Amino acid sequence: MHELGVAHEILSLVQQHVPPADAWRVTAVRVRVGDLAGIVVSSLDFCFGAIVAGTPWERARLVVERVPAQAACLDCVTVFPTDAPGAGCPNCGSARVHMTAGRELHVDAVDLLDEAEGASPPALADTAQEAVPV
Amino acid sequence: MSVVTIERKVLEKNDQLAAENRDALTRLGIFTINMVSSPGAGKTTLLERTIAALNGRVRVSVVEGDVQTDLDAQRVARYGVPVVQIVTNGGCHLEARLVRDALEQIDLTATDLLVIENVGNLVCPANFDLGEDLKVVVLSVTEGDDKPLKYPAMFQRASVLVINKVDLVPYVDSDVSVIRRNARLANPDLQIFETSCRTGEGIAEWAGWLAVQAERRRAS
Repeated sequence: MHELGVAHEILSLVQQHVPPADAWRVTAVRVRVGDLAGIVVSSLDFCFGAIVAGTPWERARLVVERVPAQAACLDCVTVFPTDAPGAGCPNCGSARVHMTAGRELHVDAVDLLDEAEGASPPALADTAQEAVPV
Repeated sequence: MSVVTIERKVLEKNDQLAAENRDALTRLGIFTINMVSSPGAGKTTLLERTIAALNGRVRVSVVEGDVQTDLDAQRVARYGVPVVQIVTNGGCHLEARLVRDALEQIDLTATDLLVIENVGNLVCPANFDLGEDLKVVVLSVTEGDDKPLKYPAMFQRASVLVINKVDLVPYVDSDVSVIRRNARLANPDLQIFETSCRTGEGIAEWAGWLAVQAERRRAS
């Protein structure tokens, strides 16, 4: 439900690491999204595309790496994949398990086109370069 | 092709603001809960009964979060406690910045227990830290005993579960023992209370527990 806000946060983080003059060079924004992060990836992808459209960042595409949910047993220390609570530890059957992965929501890196690759800034109308309203 | 490494959490800004809220509230000796539930589980009514039961034993202030209207703030204000309404205008959860801004309107030096009533939503609020000491998830028996399994994130991140509307158990198919079992499967460490705001069952126990938490924080 809040993917639009998350898309804005992702773009904001990218903008803190890539100067505006290089915006057009960004082709991919690599993010990691845990299965339990509460994010609908197709919605996030749609929202990100919508906020970069018509801006110097519009070449950027989200590249999403899903992180499967993982839990650890507090009794026998077995680590196991799980997509739901309630299954308990597959090794000892204990219900005392805690999630250890699956809540990630990280921006890892961006891919930039190099000048040597013959890339050039796209021609954008002046009006299209105005900040996208939040 | 070159790569710029970023490696940052998308919600780090919210997490940072939440940490600032938590530091400020803790320094002031305030115990803070973030009440979450689906719409209609009875958060506001439970809060009203809780304030009445505390009867001034600890000083309560309230931040209300809703998508629209200040109806909840009006209800809570009748109990004579400071209350600030946040209207999210469609936003599906409260964020730390909204809470920080709301706290500027509350006399925190005259507060022992801060209750933040989140937007009714069993999904998104789980992911947004507000700076609370703990999340209290309220689940009413009419919602069904499978909800802890269907919305696990909220139950995993909460420290306390209040099973509400237990007076309706005879009329619905929910089984409180199944709710308890499913909730503990999601989170073995959950502390669980059972309440009815109609009959008053369990309110004294729940409110007493809250008062002890606030008094401990005040004394530390």
